[in-house]
Parts: sequence; C-alpha cells; structure tokens
Amino acid sequence: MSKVTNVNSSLAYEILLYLNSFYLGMFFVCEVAMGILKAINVSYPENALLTEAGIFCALCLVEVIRIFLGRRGNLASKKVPVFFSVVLTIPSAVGVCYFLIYQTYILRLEYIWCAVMLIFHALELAFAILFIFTVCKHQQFE
Amino acid sequence: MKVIAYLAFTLLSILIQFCVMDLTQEKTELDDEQVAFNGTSHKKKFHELMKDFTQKPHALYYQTLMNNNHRDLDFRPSTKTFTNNSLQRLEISTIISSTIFDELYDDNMSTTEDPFTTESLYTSTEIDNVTEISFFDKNNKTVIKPKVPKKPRNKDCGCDLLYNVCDINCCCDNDCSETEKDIFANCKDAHKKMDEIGNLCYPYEHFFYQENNFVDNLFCIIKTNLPEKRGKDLKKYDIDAVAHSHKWHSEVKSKHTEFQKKPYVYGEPVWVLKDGSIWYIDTPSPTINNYCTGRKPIMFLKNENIKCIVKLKDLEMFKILKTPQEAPCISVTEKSLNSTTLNCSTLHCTNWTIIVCDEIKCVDYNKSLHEPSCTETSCTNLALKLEYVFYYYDSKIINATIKLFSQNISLDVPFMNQEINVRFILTNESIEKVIEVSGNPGYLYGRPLIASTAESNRSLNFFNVTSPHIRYLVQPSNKEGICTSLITENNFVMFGLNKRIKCRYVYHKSIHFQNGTNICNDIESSLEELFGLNNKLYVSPYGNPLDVKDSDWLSIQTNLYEKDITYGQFVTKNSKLRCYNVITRISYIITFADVSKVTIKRENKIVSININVSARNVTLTPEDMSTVLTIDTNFIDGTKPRVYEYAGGPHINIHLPKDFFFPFPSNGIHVTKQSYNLIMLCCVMYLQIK
Repeated sequence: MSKVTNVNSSLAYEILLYLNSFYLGMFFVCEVAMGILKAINVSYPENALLTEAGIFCALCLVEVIRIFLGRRGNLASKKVPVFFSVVLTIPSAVGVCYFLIYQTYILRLEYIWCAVMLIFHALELAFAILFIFTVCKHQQFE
Repeated sequence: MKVIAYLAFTLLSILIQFCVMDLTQEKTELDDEQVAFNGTSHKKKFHELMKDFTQKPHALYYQTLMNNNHRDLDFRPSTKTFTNNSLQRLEISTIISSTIFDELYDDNMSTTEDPFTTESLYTSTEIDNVTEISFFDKNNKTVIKPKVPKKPRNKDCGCDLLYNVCDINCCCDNDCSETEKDIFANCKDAHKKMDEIGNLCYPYEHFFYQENNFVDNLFCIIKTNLPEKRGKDLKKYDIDAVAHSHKWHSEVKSKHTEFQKKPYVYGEPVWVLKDGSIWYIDTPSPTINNYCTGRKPIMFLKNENIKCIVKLKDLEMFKILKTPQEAPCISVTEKSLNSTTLNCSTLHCTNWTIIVCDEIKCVDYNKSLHEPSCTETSCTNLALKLEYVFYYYDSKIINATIKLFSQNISLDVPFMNQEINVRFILTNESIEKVIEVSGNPGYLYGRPLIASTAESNRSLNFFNVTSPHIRYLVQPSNKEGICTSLITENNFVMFGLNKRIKCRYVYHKSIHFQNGTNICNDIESSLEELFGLNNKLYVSPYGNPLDVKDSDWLSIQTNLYEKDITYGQFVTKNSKLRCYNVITRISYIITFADVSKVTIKRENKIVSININVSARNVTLTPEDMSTVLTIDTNFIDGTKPRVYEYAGGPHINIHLPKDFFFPFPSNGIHVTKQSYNLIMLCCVMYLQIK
C-alpha cells in the first residue's frame, strides 16, 4: 500500500488547464457558430455534416473529461487521473487535427483556433508528464 | 475575489488567444504573399526579377526562380524596343524575359520549338563573361523579339469557336494574344477572379473576400476536402431514347373518327350528319409551317384561333358554302340513346346559320348578294376571317353559326392569311347579348378597358344589354391608312398593351374660302369627336365593374383645356389653309397597380388615366385635306414593392412601487446604518436596471 504524503501540484499545469477550460468553451461556441454558417452557405456532401458534428461532440466530451481529470489529478497530486488525462490527449489532438486538416471546409479562423488548441495540448502534455515524473520521484512508501 | 480571479483569467486567455492569432495570421499572410499575386504584383515581381538578373547573372539562380514561380506568374511578352546604344543589360533582360515568358507560358513547351532563344539563354548564363555579352549584341541585331509559342487549344474554352483565330471577348481563347485580351471587355475581371482563386479564398456567395479586410479574410475557406464528383450513371446516353420519344407519324390517321353515341364531353369532335353518316367538322391548320396544309377537328368546348396562309382557291369559306346546309350539326340526346337509328328524328339536329359581317354589322348570308365573285384584278365578298360560334345549352348544341367577315381582295397576291376562330358559348342567348368583363376583379392583360359615358349608374349601364352607352374605351385605329373610330374590338384600348398608332385623318367636308378659322375649328371638333374627347368619359378601376360605385369610376383627365385656341387662315397665293394649334397627337397614359393582398395572384387596378393632347400647326390644301395623327397608349405599372411590418418585441412593464425608495413612515425613526446600506443597494440596483 502506498500513500502520497507530499504535495507536488504543478502551478503551470494548473494554469494551462484552467485557461484551456475557458478556451474550450470559446472553441465549442465558435465552432458551432461556424458550422451553422457553413451549413447555411455551402453545400456538404451526403452525411459529411452529420459526421463532422458527431466528431465535434465527441471531441468536446473527451476534452471536458481530459481537463477534469488533469485538474483533479494535479490538485490532489494523484498521478493516475493525470495519466488518463495524458492518454485522452491523443484522441483529443486527433480530433483537433481532423478539424485542422480533414474537415470538409476549413476556414482560416478555424485554422487559427485549432492550432491554438494543439499548442495547449502540447504544453499540457509536457507539463503533465513532468508532473507525473515529479509525483513518482517524491512518492514515499510506508 | 473568486469572481475577480475568474475575470482576470478570462481576459488573460483572450489576450493569449489574440496574440497567438495575430502571430499565426502574420505567418499566414507572409505565406500568402509568396503565393498570391495580382496584376500589379506581377509587374513588380517581374521588374525585381529583371533587376536581380542584371545584378547576378547566374544560370542556376534564374532557373530556380523560374521553377518557383512559373505556375503563379503570368508574364506578358515585352513590348519594349531596344536601340543599339543600349547596354547589354537591357538586351539580356529582353531575351531572358522572353525566355522566361516562354517557359512560364506553357509547361509543355519543348526547347526545340524555339531553339534560338533558348540556346541564347543557356549560352549566356553558362559562360557568363564579356564575350558572351557581345554575343548577345550580335543576336540582338538579328532577333529582338523571340517568337511566342502558341498554346495548345483549350478544350474547356466554350467561347473558342474560330479555329486558329482569336474569338472576340473570349478570355480563355489561346489564339488571342495578351494585347488582344487587354482590349476585350471582361478579361481583366476574369484575371482578377483568377487572382482571387489563386489567393486560396473561395469566393462563395456569403464568404466575401476583400483583400485588405482582416475580418473577412478570417472567414475565407482556405481548404476544402470535398470528395471527387462522380456521375451516378456512367452511361452517357440512353439507348432506349428512340423507343420512348415522340416521332413523326408515318401514316395519316386520325384518332377522332370514332363516333360514340353519348352526349358531348370536353375535347370530343363536333359531329355532323351527312347522307345518313356521322362526320366530324374540321378546320384547316398549320402543321409544319405557316401554310394551311393540315386539318384538325373542331373540339367540343375548345376555343381556337387558327391563322395560316392559303391560296385563294383553297379558302375555307368555299368549303363552308358548299356543305353546311346538307350537314346539320348533331347532338346526342336521351331519346337517341334508346334508338338504334341515327337520323334527325332521333338525334338533335341543328342547322347552320351563316351570316356575313363587315366592320359595322352582320347580316344573314344571301347567295345573290354575298356570293364571292372575281374579276381579272380583284375578288369581292371573300372571307379571309371566319368564325364558328356554337351555342350549347340544355345538353345540346342549339345554334351553330358561321360568321364570314367578307372583304375585297386584290388578285396580285397569290397567298393570303386566313383566320379561323372557333367559339363555344354555354347559353341560349345571342353572343351579342353576352356581356364580358375584363377580369375579376382586377384587369387581365389584353382585355379591353371598361368605360362609360353615363353620368350615373355606370355599373348597371355596363351590364344592361340595351344601354346606349359605350362599354369599352375606344381609340382611333388605322384602317388602310385612314383613322377610324368605330366601336369594334380592334379599336378597344386593351389593358397592358402599349402601342403607337399612326394614321391619316381626312377632312371630308367641302371647304369655303371665306373663313379659315371656322374650317379649322370644324376640323378640331371632328378630331375631338374622333378621339372621343367630346364626351365626359369614365373608366372602371376594376375589370369587373359590378360592385364599383359611381364615385369610384375614374374620370379621364385631359389637358385639352390647356391647349391654345385653334384658328386658321388661308394663304391666298397658293390657296393653302393653315390651321394653328390643331390636335395631331393624343396620348393615353394609364397607371395601374397590383392591389392584391396575396402575392400569387395579381389584382390590377387602374389608379389614374390621363389623355394628353399635343397640337401643332397644319397646312392643308383643297386637294389634300388630311394630316397624320399619332395615337399613343402607355400603361404604367405603379405597383409599389410590398413592405412588411414586423410586430415589436414584448414590452415588459416592470417598475418599482412608488414608495420603494422611501419605505419609512413620515414620522420616521432615525435611519440606521443598515437602512442606509439598503438604500444604497437599491440605488445601485435601480441604476443597473436602468
């Protein structure tokens, strides 16, 4: 049995996750608005719009879980939630990459905010790994 | 504190986001600058290119540059002329630019097509010394402008129709030179559009792109991942198309020849009984051209208007005059349904009534009076226009009338236009007693304008068959060059029909040389009568005047009273009469509007009608007492576009009680600190609500 006795929360990681939570809200609202704009003005191939909407919903869901786990793990100095958060970064980044590269119509604005989202992911991934290492390093067993 | 922290972080995140956006945008713009060019940037780049070339004459450098840009740049051949005293710099530029142009102009260009120029380029760049520059000097004397290789024919260019010749205003025609494209109408716009597409901003309808607008630029679609378009049916033609398409019939047969013993239904031929057999009546009709080469049956209840060209001997009237009395028109009745024999005792037979009409009246046909006759030069009593009128009432045809509109015809013309009308009326009244409105309620296009001269009860007068007042607005018309004002259908002012009529007015009365003014006044009066200006006229605002009150009928406004007084005088030397201020032009200006409440159906209402007359001085001679009149009709649609008014948003009437800010009794107790805070809080809330 192990017990974590030290507090190893990463401030930078927390700030990133905190900002990311706001950014996710903005991303969600703007992407929905942009989707509506595109759906009205340009024609989509069959089922493409539904597919994109589905991927987007899944992305948002994964992002919410990822940020939640990251913050919870970071504040409680638990590595398991952070580890899952890191794992969820992969589908989340793939989803963002889909909107960055493979969606039917890519607007310049989407290019920008998807890129920012990926930067968040990269930074959070780096700090999360650092955090896990830190936790492992300072772990004490009774 | 938590709220402040929240706001601060939000602002920070937005700030970071915009910083990153700006950074990314700058990067994007930089990238764009390398890719996108417009017309001016072409020139600039070209000059820069030339400048660099003269400074650094190295083969690899230019080759690299060409390779980088040859897809985006659209160079034009240099039109500069170079003199011998110019330095090699210019000459090198000329040749290089031309060569670059060749390379850029066509990807598929082979160097063998223009060996001289290509060779010059590579020679100069490979050796790169003064000797080679002098070599260029020699070349320059012989060849200044390299030949521009022709582009292959553009198969997707729909306007390129002339082979090897430049088509006017065809921007994609490869036969056209750039100079020619410059003088065309829309090629510059086409280039601009190409540039926009080249800038990777798709010009969708709502995704506007403006070159310098940052916000619009963000909404550009910079990339699409649309699937490749494929036709579902790969077959380009339908093999069975021949089988299920309409074709000309190979043999003449009629599908209307079967008589069925039953009452008439719509579209069935009208039958006649001739020599104990049942036949149908047919009329000539044009089939493949305007000549009366075919025939088709008269269909029950189908009104027709047939016009075709015919020879004199083939006029339909001759056939009509031969047969109808022997072949009465029949109707199947209940009595005939039970009978096996078919004759006039079992069927309802209706004999034909033939009447002859001229412009004014119709009379019964009298063979001795109305039989056609011809001399060497002309024929009389020929009917080029005829009309079948069937009166159907009580399930049978009760009257069948043929109207022959007779006239005299010159034999100089071998062919003539024949007009045949077929009309069915479901009444036992004569057609002359049937009142026809011009729409219900609004006017229909092509229907006559309803007018009245009656001072009161105009609507009643319109529907009263015996009323002496006119029903429709009449204007003079051109009858063989002469102005006539008879009350016939040809002279009616038709709704929506703008036209100009020119005809000659002839003054028939004998003139006396004593007083020119009297004669001119008499001419003026007869002109006013011709134009219908001597009576007060009213026009119905609607095509159906049934419920129109007298006050709603529109009085025709005229500027006749503004006209100068008419007078005249004889010019004694040449016996000419000169009339001053005689009406020679009349203009009907009718304004109407669609007053319907629904958009799917028009309801044309006449809102005003004006008659403007114009006068001028006219000179008449005793030999030719005539002048040319002009009659204009103008219908103006004054319909205003619909304006929709939307209901306002919900108004919530919330207000605080009157004593809200002074909830304390007048003999107030001392205001405590808590009360003071409460008042302050209320004030803040009030200000926020406000």
